[in-house]
Amino acid sequence: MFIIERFEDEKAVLENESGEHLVIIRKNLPHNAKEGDCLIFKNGVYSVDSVLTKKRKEEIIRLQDSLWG
Amino acid sequence: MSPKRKTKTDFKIKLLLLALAVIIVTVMYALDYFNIVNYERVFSHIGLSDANKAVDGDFSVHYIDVGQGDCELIVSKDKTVLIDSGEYENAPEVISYIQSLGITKLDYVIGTHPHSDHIGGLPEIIQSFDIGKVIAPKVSGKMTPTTKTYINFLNAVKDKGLKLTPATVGEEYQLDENTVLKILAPLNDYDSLNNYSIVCMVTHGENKFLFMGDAEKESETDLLEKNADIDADVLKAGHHGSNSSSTMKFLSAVSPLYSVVSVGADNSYNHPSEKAIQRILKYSKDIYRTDLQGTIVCTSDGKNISFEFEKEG
Repeated sequence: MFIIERFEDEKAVLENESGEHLVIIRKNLPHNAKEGDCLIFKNGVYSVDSVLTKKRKEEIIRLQDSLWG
Repeated sequence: MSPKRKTKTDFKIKLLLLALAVIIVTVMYALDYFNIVNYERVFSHIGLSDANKAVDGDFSVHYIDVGQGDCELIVSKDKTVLIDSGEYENAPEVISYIQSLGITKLDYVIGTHPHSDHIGGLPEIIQSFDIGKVIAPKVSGKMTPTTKTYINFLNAVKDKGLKLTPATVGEEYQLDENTVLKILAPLNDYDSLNNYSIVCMVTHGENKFLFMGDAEKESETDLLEKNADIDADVLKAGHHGSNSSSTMKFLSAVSPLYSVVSVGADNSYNHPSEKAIQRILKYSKDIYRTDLQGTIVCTSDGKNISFEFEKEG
């Protein structure tokens, strides 16, 4: 599993499960992929895992919102 | 040669010299007017400017070299502020740099926006120092990051028993009787985290320092539309000097005497962009870069500012 950390112009920075980064060409991602999307890499193709993305986002928003002071 | 004749020749020479002087001044003025030559820059290069004379001030801004990332430390008489940290890997060097200044407490820690090259090192830094407030932008649910980097940052805040202070535009933090930090952005919701960057102005006496995080043209445009007070002496240019930041209109309103670009040598993103550098040089008499000069320290006595560099780049 990878997460889109950010886009830098024509490149995308992905975070792997150990928190390490790799930089890939943005056009190798689905065209509707957004920052924060979880990706599955299978047979040389990246696709967005929208179920995992939603679940992860909800968990993080819960943690984040418990901290606003 | 008769006396009469000599006077006539003298007069002709004087007239010629006067005409020449008028032409030279006109040409110099025109070059300046059309931005072809920046005399302050020229004087500065030939050592006639006093801008870089060391200033014995009680306020300093440290643009810490973290390679491709951002990290700025503000040290005022009473308080310290850390804006960003660079990547996770940069934390040890940033911690020892801050400790080498005898600092044990960071009164304000600002994570401009949740990208790893800005907040990656913050968890370890938060663990290592006494921390006042941690300030972060309130990002829309849609744009909330899902990265381990962000989880680690949130957990570090939680584990230290701290809260997150949302960046509120207009909020002012007094750093000492002469120094104030004011939050200017984010002014809107955006579809890129860069534009959610906390933009802040630190005013020390008459000197003003603008910190852009990774804000790009959308945030710059909103700052202009809101008539935000962005006129500054020193600009930390947005997004590592990328072409998507530092627009002409924005630079014209900031009119920074000096600009700083925080960027890593040979980075994967071709930062800084040559176009952005050229735009900045139209308004700044000098541009300093962490990839060339290393850590850049700017000192101010409230009127004058001076720079010191880790390396001569």
